[in-house]
Amino acid sequence: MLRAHIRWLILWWGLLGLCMAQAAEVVIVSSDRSPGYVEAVQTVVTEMARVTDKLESQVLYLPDGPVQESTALAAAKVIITLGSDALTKVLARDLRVPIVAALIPKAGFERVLREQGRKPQAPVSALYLEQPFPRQAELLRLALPDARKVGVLWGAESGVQAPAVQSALQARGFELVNGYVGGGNTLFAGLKAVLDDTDVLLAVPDPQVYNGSSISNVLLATYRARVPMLAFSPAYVRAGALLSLHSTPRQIGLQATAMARAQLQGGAAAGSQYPADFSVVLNDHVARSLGLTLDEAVLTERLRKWERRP
Amino acid sequence: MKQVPLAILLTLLSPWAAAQTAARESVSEQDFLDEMPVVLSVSRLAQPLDEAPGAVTVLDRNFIRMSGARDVADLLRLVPGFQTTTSFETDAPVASYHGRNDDWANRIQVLVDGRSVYSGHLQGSAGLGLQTLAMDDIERIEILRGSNSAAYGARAFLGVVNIVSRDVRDTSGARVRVTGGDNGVADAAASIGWGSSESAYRLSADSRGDMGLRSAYGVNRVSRVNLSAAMSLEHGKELELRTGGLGIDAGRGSADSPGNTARTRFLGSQFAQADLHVPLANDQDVQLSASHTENTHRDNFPYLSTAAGVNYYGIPIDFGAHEVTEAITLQHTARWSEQWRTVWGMELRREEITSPSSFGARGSVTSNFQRLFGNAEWRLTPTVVLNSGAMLEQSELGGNTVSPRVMANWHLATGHTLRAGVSSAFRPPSAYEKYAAVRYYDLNGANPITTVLASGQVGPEKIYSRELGYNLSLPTLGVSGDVRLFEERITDGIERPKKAQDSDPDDYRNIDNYRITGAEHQLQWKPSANSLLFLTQTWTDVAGAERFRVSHSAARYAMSLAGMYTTDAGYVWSVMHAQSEDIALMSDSERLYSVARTDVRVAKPFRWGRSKAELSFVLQNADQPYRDGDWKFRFDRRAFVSLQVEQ
Repeated sequence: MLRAHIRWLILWWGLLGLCMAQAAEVVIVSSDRSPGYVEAVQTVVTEMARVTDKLESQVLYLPDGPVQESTALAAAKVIITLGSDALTKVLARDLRVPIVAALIPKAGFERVLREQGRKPQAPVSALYLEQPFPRQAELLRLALPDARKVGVLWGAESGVQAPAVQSALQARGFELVNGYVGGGNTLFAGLKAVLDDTDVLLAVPDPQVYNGSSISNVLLATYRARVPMLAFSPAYVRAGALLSLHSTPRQIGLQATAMARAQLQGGAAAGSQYPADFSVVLNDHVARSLGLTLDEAVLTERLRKWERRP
Repeated sequence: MKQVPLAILLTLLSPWAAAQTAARESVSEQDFLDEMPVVLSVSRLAQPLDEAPGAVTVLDRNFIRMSGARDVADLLRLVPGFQTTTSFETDAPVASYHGRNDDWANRIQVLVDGRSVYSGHLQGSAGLGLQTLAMDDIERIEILRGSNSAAYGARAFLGVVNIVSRDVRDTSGARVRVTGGDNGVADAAASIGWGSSESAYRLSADSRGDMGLRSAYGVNRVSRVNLSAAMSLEHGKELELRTGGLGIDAGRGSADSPGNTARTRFLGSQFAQADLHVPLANDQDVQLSASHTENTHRDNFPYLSTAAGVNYYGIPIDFGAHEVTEAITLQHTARWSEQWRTVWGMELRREEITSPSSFGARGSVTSNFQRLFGNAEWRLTPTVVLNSGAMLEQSELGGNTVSPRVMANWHLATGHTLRAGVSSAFRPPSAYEKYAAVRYYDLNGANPITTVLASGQVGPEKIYSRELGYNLSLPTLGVSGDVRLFEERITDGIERPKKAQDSDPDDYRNIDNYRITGAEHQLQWKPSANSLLFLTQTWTDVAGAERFRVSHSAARYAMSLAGMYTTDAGYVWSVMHAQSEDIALMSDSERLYSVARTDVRVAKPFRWGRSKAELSFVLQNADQPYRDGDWKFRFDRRAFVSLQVEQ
């Protein structure tokens, strides 16, 4: 079903791209063609068409060819990049077109800008992929009211976020328990330090800590210690994390569209933002096995209500 | 010993485990969008106790440590419905559930990391197998109270003791423990864990010894080595390898019994085991296990009595045997929907026992078992769960049998679950019960006296059991527990028929028919993070058994109470009391006894340089000596001190 959609989409937007190559006001540059990116692309395109039917947009996929040759980019009024590679390639063109960088984590965004070495000619605003820490801390409070100690495994890159996590947790009465991976500390040692005496593990993305090879050990160790894990993507919940707090590519696509439209309507650059909308996904089987009674819909609703508080 | 092939296998596999894709250095959207393998797949998730199809007692690592117990059988005295002894006279300390039918405790299944550890030569007893792991290497012991052959095999006739070792990935670093005290208590243990999260290893060795029970002969020493490895392979697959060796040198017989002289007997066991866990797509799992076990029994002594005639004085007596067991198991677990979950599998098992002294001219007995089992869990409504299953078994020893089981769980309200179920099961006779032929020849090698001659006219013994249960689980109040009302009807029970004359040989026949009824409960209360109370009570009635010792093999009333408390100063206090009223003991077929034992332990964890250390003092049986398992043997008060250091 999804493949059919993708094929249709490629064909349709390819054709559309050809016809209106010179005229597109919004150009979407996607790093990849895998389902997450395509879903975000599809959302932006549909949403753009829905809210302003005169607006023309074009999609470029990096795997299809180098963006250096695309003339559409220079003619665009705003560019939406999806992913780190797309942003890198677009910035390399050094255009005078504002950019909305979406589907990118904060650290990745800052790294791309840093590596670019020169100041962009037009405003670049990011829509981060990760959730603000106060929101994560609030979900912990809602889901596990008895939890006191929150473990976090830090890697070389994520470590700089420790103060932000610490203050978000402290504001809700949690105590942060730190574990470190990398620089001589094995995952093994990090897990031992963090699982010895904690009530929940808060996963902060860092490829040195959480990746396809390490996840098995992380989840088995947390489960043995009966420490549930709050993850940052639904894939981790399918793998065995208790909960995930994340924004779906669709939610990202909608917000990126709104940011691009604000830019088009002549407003000043909106500045970088965290996702406004989010999803909570629960692994019922893990919850039941840990003796927890939780409801995905109720948690989402209560967290949204907290977000809307005055 | 199997260390050599395992070492080769480990060497071959290490690069495989290590050669996993190197992680990216920097965070990107891939971290949020990448797919992950399913890790906590359907068979890895433990069932909550209120959904388990039966009554379960879980003794975790904390409880085990605070009990001060030095072996598993001793610990099981705190589990409702259990009878235990620390005596090495029969084989090794044994535990039975709802009574013993003879010297051996062969009606419960004992699994150590999934491997069934009974000994066919020791008449199906799991005493030797209960010693497989050092106490410090045990993560938890799950005791399933009640017959469950449909899920755990023929040996799960009355219950299951499932011993789970500590995961090697949780035990990196070194640990040393030394213990010494009264009655010659002298134990030492060392363990070292190393590796990475991809492949982790643990080597542990220990030895524990004491002077045993008063009036029993000699020094008992159990020595063990265990090597375990866990490897994470690609796509969430996992391989676990284990090998170990165990030796028990224990005193047996007595100085004033010339036909059963005081001597040291050796029981040994070695094993190698491999378990491969493969998560499949769509909530399915496959587990493949293979194991090889060898048990050795050495017990030779001269018959220094003239009771059988002067020509027999000084003849050699040999109870020795060598046992080799191979088993392969395949198990498939699947969650088809929110309502349906299934487990099915098969096992091929081959047991070969060589013992010329036990099997006469036959010399050895080989038995093959083929088992097919299946269980389905059906969530009829959100509050009603139905579990049903069956095991089909085919063997030379037991013929063809079918053991079905049905159990329904009904969640009345949050934390309150009612349970009801019926099951039937068969225990095939052990090789000894079916083929034993024990003969003693005089000094000239003639005129044999036959003491045991199995006619082979013995089939499997049967059980039909019914139970009603209730499970309480209120985590917010720290309260949990269960109640079990049971009726267990044993028919065709294997027993030695009465003999016309004392000199006639013993045989084994399906002649016992009796009914075990009663009630038991356990209640655990954790009023705070640093305190725990665990109370159990059991009332048992055995009706219809011919032999006094069977009729009273379970106490009319038994209870246990364990309490633990950690003071603000960091001292961990625990008190364990267990008592049984009106129970028969070995060597006495007329009287009933009441036995009670109270243990106290206090421990103080502290830092020793960069290491974690703990000093503990244990007082076992604070009160008067009690008779332990056998009328002749007494357990005196004993105290010992233990120091553990870990890094």
